[in-house]
Amino acid sequence: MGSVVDVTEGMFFPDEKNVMVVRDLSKYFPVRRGLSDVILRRPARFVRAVDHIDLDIPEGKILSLVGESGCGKTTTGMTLIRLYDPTSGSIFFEPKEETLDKLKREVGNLDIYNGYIDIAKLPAKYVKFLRTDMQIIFQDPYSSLNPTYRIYDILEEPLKVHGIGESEDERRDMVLKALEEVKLVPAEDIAARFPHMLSGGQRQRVAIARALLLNPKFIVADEPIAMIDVSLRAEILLSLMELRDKHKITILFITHDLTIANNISDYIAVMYLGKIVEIGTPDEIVNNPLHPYTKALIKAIPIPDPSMRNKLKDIWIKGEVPSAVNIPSGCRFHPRCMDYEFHPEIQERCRNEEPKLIEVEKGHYAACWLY
Amino acid sequence: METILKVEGLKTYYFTSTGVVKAVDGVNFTMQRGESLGIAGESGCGKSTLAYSLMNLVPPPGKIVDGSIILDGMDIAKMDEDSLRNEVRWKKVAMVFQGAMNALTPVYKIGKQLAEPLVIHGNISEDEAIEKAKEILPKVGLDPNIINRYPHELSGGMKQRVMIAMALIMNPDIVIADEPTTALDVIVQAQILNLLKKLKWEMGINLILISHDLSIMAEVVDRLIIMYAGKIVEIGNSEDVFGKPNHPYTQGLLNSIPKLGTHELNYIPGLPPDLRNPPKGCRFADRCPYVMDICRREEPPMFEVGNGHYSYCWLNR
Repeated sequence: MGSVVDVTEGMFFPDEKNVMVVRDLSKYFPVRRGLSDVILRRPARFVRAVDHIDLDIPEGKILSLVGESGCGKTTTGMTLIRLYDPTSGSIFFEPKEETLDKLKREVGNLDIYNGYIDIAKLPAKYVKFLRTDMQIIFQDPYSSLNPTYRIYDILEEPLKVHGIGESEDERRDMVLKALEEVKLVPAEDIAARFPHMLSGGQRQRVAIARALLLNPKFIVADEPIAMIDVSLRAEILLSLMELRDKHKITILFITHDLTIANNISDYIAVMYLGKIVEIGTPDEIVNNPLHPYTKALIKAIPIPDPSMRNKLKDIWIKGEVPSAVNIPSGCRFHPRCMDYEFHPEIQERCRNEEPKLIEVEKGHYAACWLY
Repeated sequence: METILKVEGLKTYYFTSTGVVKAVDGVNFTMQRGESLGIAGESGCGKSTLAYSLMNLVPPPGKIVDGSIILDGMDIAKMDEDSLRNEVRWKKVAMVFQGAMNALTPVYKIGKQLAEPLVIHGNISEDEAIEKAKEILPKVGLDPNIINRYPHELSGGMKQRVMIAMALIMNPDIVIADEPTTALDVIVQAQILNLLKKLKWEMGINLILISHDLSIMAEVVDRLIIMYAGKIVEIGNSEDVFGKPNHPYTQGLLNSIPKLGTHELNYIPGLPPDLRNPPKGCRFADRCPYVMDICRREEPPMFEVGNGHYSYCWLNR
């Protein structure tokens, strides 16, 4: 095999084995062109939702991808499991052995790098073989479960599709066990219900059970608690942590909430306008944020302590998020950056050159010309 | 202190085909001039229904069935639709509705939408109204020239500012903000909360903030009401409710807030009761770690647990 790079070698977490190694990944969406654009032959424009990112996802860990709406975090999650086809770049993923065997049989010329395959290059018709290895939990449990199916049928369907379980009885056992796994008991009773008979938190646990059933290695959890009541959120988070600890499942946890990311993850990556701007452990990110954007996010978090309410909150950012169609030159954060104001010596660089993610402190990476 | 709003025995029910949902079921509180009041609780606890009741604007099949809402000597709960329109809504009580993204109509310019309450309720011409709209925009941190823009040209934060300007335009006594930051990103949320504080200090607005998020409450309100399953469970000054929470539900809710710097995760087991058929005694009994016999038998009365701090829990007996 002519591969020159050892792709199993990660960039960010030297002590970890990575289940996924993402290199230079992009996902652009075309902007619809109006009649006048065509007549005037204006060039096609793109929303650069994910713009040349590098990321490692360590095995058996929770990595949180944090950012504001529109920063590309959901697009990243969907692209990593090939729910979107990437525009360019590589996603090296180590499938389960049986999946790899199946892929070897089915795909004519499959490049295998040390047990990893580049799923970004996998033709669309073979992507379904990855579903036993990678699953997703969506944000909205009110629309992600078919309202006309009973919970049992919702959970049995993936088993049928992937030909798992010899008989109806065996599948039934698997479904009930999955429900018990996420503490939906009595499982028999829950299985017979329709989604509308469950609360939001219970539905979200059905979604977790469904993702769990095919015994995946990797789960993308896209804001799974955004629509759940505060008093019940921790229950969902604890289920996810149990998947990691008990089943060694790797989770990419997508959230806009740094506090929650800080509470459940092993590593955090902060995203801004299609780029990852900072990577580190939760404690490092929260106590010692390096990138000015991360600093702004942390300062904006509301604190449940009424003694500060007679002061205005310090807002460490200017303006509003620009459109992902017209991304600013150089560092895409510079028009909003407060540190930019105070460091005239680097301003020219910030305006013209894009900073790369570099290791600023041990295990703590930031893409900023300050460093 | 001057009481500007007094709510007594308020009951607002929804008459649905599957039964009567007792969304607000006997609520009492007062609001003093100059204080910001928070109404907190989880989805379905009746906080938004309470907010809509304060303007007598409960959507059908909902109806105020009992109680009084006294504002300026008027009982809003018993007024007819015409006097509500002419005397109360926008002039006395204005509301910043939840979901600023969808609350503006996409087909009119901002100026026309801002001017509308003035034209309808203030008896002035549209041109004059638009001039007034231009005056109010800088107060919410917007450029007056956006009156010529359409909603889709504005960001979520700017739309929320327009909604706040609209609530202020008739110079009301009370402004109710129903989850004003839920759809917004954390930085924009901090900017909107700063704006609400400034408006309170500079324009002296009396703010009622409705939210499920206690952290937001702590940032803004002076006095806090905690609701659970259609009832108030605790009411007190922010310092007391956050510092010395009395009701087990308040304690559980405060514990459920994830905090920076700790890695503790807590939740309240169980689910809130069905409001079509609420349990007899305390509505929190099934989820309460300290539940006693009496809790399931009798509804807890109000106990004074501190200066101006009240809790509806039998533990204080």
